Amino acid sequence: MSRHEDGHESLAEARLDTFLTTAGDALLHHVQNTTSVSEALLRLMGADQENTAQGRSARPSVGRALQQARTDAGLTVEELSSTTRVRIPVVRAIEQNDFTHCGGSSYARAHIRLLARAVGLDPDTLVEQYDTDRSGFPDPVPAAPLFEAERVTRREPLRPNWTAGLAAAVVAVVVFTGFTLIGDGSRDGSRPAHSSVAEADPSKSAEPQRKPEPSDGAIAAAPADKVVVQLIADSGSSWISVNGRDGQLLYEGVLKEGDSKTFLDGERIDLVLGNPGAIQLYVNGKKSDDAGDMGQIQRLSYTKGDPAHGEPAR
Amino acid sequence: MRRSFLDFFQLEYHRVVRFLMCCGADQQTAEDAAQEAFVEGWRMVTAGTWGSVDNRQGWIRRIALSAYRRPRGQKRCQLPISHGVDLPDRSEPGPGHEELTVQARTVLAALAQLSDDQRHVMALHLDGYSSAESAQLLGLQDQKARDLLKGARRKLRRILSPAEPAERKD
Repeated sequence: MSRHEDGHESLAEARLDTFLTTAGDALLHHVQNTTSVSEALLRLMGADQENTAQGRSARPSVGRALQQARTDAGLTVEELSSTTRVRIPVVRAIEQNDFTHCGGSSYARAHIRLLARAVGLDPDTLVEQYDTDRSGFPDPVPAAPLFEAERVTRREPLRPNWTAGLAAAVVAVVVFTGFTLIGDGSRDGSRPAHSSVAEADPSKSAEPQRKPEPSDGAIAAAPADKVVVQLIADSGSSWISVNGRDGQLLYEGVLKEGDSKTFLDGERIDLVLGNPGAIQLYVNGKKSDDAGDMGQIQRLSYTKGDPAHGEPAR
Repeated sequence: MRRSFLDFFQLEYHRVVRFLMCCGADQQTAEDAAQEAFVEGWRMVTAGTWGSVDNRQGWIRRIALSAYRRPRGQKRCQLPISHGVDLPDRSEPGPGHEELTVQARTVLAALAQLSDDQRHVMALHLDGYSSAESAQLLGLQDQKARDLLKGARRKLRRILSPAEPAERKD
């Protein structure tokens, strides 16, 4: 809190009065400059004025006349809105003599014309009445600061779009380079194809996989007379090779991080894992720790029934 | 009647807002309550009873003050008024206060340290009301209002000139 400049001397009564007066003036000045003169209030006084002064002369207000004519014509606000293309809230507001939603007096006149025509009133009379009702009534525009503030905040989100776009582009570039580097660093020659291997190579992977057993089911319900192996690359990518009985190739390629594959064979599955540390291995529905550590190539064999799992060949 | 009420509104609206701010309201709350009071006045205009109000400036302040003090559900969030050393800060965080001149802010902060009654009498005093008129508006005894005003002035002097606390001239 800042003290008054003369604070070090005693403020005599007169001084206090002077101070209070000037401070009061400053405060009043501030209030006058920052207060938006209650548009709603002015409107109320304008609208109510119609109800008293003009209500006596038996002429209904513009909004009231429109509403009356609409109900007489048996129309709902929604129907009127759809025929005139004036939005429902605007129609409602106009019927309450609130023309602020129209976006300016010329728009308000246009809206009144549209609505009047639709409900069978004379547009010119109504617009004329609208104009006379407004005249002599303080234009509500001075109350605009409030709405200006609103508009400013509303416009704001539009501007950062450039920044956001730029940021998105940067992120995209970073992600792309990151992936490229990881791809380079991770494994061997099959890298360029890795992204498409899973889906785009059905001749090799999907087909032979299905051939042994078409009902390629979930491992949880592993059939007892088959060997089922699920590989989940949860902590990195790994090149893998999967062979069925008689050395038949079921799959060969890179399992990307987050991917998972299930293989099924009637007798035997042989696995070669390029980066076993990255792979979670489930054999016949049970988690297996055979995969081994990061960076060592691992060869594993499983046969049907609970795995008499193959010896890690080094 | 409508014209005269609009004139009255133009003349008094900002002063009523200021009055409420002096009573401890932040600016938004003050504006709300002032508007409410003028709406009330407008109702009387339409009902034809506005003419029977003698002291219109006083009336509008009384209505505005009671509108400000009346808790209004969730919509009117009334800041809890506590009277402590930390009070001077209270007048500052509100939006718009940063534009207040130093003087106005100082006086608001000082007023915030008064008691409710003292603040009301003082706020009326700032609007040029005698303690007798204030007493009538606030429903207090004359003497009570005078005492409140005296106490308020003493306290303000002390707050505004902390260097010399003892010199009193009442």
